[in-house]
Amino acid sequence: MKYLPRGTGLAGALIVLIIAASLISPHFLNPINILNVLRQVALYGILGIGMTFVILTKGIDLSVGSIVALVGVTGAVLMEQGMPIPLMVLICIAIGALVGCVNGFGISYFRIPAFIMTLGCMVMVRGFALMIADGGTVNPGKLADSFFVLGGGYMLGVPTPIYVFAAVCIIAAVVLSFTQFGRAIYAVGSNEEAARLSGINVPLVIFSVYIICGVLAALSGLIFLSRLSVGDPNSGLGLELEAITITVIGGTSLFGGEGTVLGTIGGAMVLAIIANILNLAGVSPFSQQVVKGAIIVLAVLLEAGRKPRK
Amino acid sequence: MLNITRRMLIISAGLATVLTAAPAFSADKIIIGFSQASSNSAHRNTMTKRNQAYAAEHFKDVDLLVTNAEGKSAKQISDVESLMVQGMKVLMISAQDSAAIAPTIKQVLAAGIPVITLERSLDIPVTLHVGPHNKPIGTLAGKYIAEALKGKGNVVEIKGDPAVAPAVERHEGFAEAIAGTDIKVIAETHADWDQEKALKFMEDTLQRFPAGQIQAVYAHNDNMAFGALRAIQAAGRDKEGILIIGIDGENAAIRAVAKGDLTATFTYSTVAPEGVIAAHALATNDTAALEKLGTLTKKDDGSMEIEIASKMITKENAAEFFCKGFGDDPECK
Repeated sequence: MKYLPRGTGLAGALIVLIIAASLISPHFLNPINILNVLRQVALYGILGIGMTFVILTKGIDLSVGSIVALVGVTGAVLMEQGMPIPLMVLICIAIGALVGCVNGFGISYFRIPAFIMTLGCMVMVRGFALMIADGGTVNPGKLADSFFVLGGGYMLGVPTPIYVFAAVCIIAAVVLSFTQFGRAIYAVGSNEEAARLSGINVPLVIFSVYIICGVLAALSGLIFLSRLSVGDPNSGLGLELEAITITVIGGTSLFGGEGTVLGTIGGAMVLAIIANILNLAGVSPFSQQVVKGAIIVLAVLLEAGRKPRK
Repeated sequence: MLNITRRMLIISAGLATVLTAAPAFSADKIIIGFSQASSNSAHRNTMTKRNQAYAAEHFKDVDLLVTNAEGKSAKQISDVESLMVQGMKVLMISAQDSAAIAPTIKQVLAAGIPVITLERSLDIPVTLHVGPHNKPIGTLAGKYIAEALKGKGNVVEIKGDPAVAPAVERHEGFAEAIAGTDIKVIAETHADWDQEKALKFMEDTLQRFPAGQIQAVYAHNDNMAFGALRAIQAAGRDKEGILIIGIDGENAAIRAVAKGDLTATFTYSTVAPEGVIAAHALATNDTAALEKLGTLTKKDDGSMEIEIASKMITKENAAEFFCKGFGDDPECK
């Protein structure tokens, strides 16, 4: 297996999953179902892309689920008070960037371990969300059509989040593969010391990836808000783990320096298809979790088997 | 000798100060302690606020001291201890964890202070438990669906978090009510009270069962019922007349029932103002007031219980309940 290119294991797992899914349920290949699955891929994939940037630098961001909740309730409150949609969206994105700044600042300049720093932010940001929403859900009234289209609407028969996800993926892929900044991210993740010696501003690179992750989490929070049309301070619990799972299934190494946008898209597809087919097949809720966990381990094993043992 | 005289002087001076300077804590005010478990749900926040507001308006003779454990059992223990120090006459408590708080509650009871548990009961006997029961709510929902579908049809059940009693009991009551009818649960999931999870599951389930195969959705709370509603609307299947049933009686759900988006919801009492009324009744030995709150049962171990029955809200009576549930509703402000 030594000479197989990167991603073979994941691609194989995806193909097997798709064939199995279409055999298990006649509804799987139904166009509406495929669009539903792709929308799920988009909702979680956006978080996965942000997480990919962070994990590439050997970091982790546990605060993304809380950012989704905070953005959801803040957006709902602002809309309830009649703020114009573009301004509300800007403020929400700024909130994501701000949390990213706090994370990035602590990690890169104060050298707080990423796990601890973002864990702190996760708890704190969730607290802010609960404070703003007073514990309950916030109902902004009827959503403006221009905002509803972001998460709940369609363009040319395809759910809007899929376009958003596609745009995010293209930009992320270009940044990672064709820019100096992208190469710096890989360099910092593979060997921080070597990166520093070759003149890369390591703290700045690390600082930036957390802002990217925060902004993408805020974008995802806006899509969730649009889709649910209420802000729920308890939403997005465990989303950070979902995003990490997607990234890792996609072949990004938790030890940094290795991973691609394409892999993360694949990871998001594996998770979304598993969840979909288990529901279509009517598997009992408890066994669903067992199967889901087992497939995740299997997918990562397949990808790991590709590499020669050191 | 001198020492004793000085001490006597200090004590009497102290007593005099307390009696004159602190009328709020003197004999004419009853101190009631209220230890709330957390503030991360609209249900609990409404429980706290409505009891406070009712006490402020109706019980001028009461000082209601409220603490909030923010979801931590350890904090709740020290909260209760500090309420004891402040001289409460009755303790109202909504427990974070029934096992963790039990030893502290035993101490409170041993000190002769009556304890009222709100919504969540404890494993040890206390003076009084006031709250709604989950199983009868599930039964009500089951009977409603069985009747509306004339005893035959397919139901999708969206359950809450399987680790907590309300989800288990709301399921059990429902299952008992539909037993023996031709109502079948054709798909089920644990969406953990989460709207997005319910939406996602319902999307897939609508694919699995084409038009005409689903007659009703039974969701263990209103939040998840909204998730199912959005999936049904997005799939363009809201014309099929699928019944969507929620539980809790959230303000937003009551509006949706009035509009016809949701079919029905069943109230899950916030025990407010019943909680503070019961506490006041115990403090003043007013048994008549207690009996007015609901069905009062006395158990062999000397404890009492008042069950606050659930009310069914459908399109016909929804208007009577506007703003009387809990949770955010722009039109109630």
